Amino acid sequence: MNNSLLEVEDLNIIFKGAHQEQHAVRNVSFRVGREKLAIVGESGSGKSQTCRALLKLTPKAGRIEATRMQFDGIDLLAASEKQMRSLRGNRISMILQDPKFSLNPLMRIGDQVAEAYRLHSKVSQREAQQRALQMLEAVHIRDVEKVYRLYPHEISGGMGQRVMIAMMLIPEPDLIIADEPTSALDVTVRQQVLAILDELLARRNTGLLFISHDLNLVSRFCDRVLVMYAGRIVEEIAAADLHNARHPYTQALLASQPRLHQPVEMLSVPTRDAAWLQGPAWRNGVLV
Amino acid sequence: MMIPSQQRRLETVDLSIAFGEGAQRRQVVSNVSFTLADGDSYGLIGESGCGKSTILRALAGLNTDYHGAILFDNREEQPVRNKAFYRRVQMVFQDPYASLHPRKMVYATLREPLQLHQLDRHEERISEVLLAVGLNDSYRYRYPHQLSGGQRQRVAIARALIVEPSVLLLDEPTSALDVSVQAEILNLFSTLRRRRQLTYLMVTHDLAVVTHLCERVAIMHQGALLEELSADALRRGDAQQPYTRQFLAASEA
Repeated sequence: MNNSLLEVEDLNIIFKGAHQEQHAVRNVSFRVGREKLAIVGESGSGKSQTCRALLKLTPKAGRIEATRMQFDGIDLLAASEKQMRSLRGNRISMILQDPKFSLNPLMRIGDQVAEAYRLHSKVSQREAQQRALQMLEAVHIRDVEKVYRLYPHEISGGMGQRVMIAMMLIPEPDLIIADEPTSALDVTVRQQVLAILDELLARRNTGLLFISHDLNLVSRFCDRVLVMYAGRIVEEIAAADLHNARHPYTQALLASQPRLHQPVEMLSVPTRDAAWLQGPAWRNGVLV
Repeated sequence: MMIPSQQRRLETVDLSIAFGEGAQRRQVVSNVSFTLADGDSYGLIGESGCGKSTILRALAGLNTDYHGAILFDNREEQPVRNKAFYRRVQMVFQDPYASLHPRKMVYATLREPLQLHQLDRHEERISEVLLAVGLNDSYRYRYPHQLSGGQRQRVAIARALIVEPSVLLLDEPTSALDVSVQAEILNLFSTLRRRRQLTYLMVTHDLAVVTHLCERVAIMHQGALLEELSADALRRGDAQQPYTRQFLAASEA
């Protein structure tokens, strides 16, 4: 892809332990354009750490090594903390998993959204308020004037997640990193939230990096999928071709899900193969 | 479909639960009746806040303030349950990270119910139940933080099984787990049910999971039980109520 926003080459994240070093992410390379890219893997596969590293939010015990990490011409590896602050939220923003823990419990919803806007653009309070109201409307919240004045404990999980999306989209970033944005939500609400996210992304031509462990969801919602296993990308594939996945791990993940229309007596459980740690990886069905 | 009374294991009759007082009072569950036969696997599905977990908590004796009746083996249970009840009915909770005591080793977690119910052969029973859930004796002296999510849920299931209950109440037992681990735990439930003739009542919002494990499924909305379907009917989309169809569509899309 020519107009790639983000390029990562040979990213390694190493955590220093008491006895040995933990290699959490190993030689990960990928590009994100103005598209929807998913990273899929089990807990501990390094998908969240990869995304944290992009914003340089890796904990102090971790060390980032990479040949290249570039966002829209800016070298993230060399960027100072000050430069990173101007990027975070403004150009790359992050939607977190659980609105219960990510919203400030002591601040009114609307003020939090307005604050996100004022942090990144010099506008008056009144103007920021107007923008916040518009944004809340854009995420399909009814009766925005009332919701603006509510506190986070007074709204439901689905509404909280929509507020988070509003907060992350209001500075109009170029890239959004969504770390399991819907896993705390119900199926019915999940569809609504994804539809809203999709609509807003399309309107602004924003790129999305979507972290999830739900292959079904990802195959419907995203354009491309990266499958991570033990810190490595073992397969990169177009979401529409996911059923033709080549790597045994991707196939096993797909087979382990119960399916409504294909009832089985026993589900297949992925068996892990030590060879996958070093073994071959596939890109779009081709061995690399 | 009527279930003959000698096969009825667990039954609720016009169960209603409300929380709060005065103007704040909210009816959370209204007039819910269903029956589980011996060896049944019954699912309750619905979106959050529809009252499905509240019903489960009332059945488990965790909420004593309800109207209507809960019958177990054709006898009405008192709101405050006796100890014998808990030998027959056990519960597995949603989040294995929260439901195990962080400062108790696995063997202490498993020994506690044995002591409470004054059962014999502690050591043998602990070994047996660990094997039954796919762990082994080497896990005895571990703390929960030394276990993975799937292993923790296995320990939580072992804790429920060690008193040899006949009914397991499952409150979203796999929703905090990865898909691959979810497959392991669902398989474990299927195997255990076959081996020990268990009766399951599962609460979940995942349609694929509920049709995998349960033969009969009830759909709940705003505290009421809308309709009861067989898993096959659910797969075919044979729903009568408009809300059920909407729920099915949202789950499949």
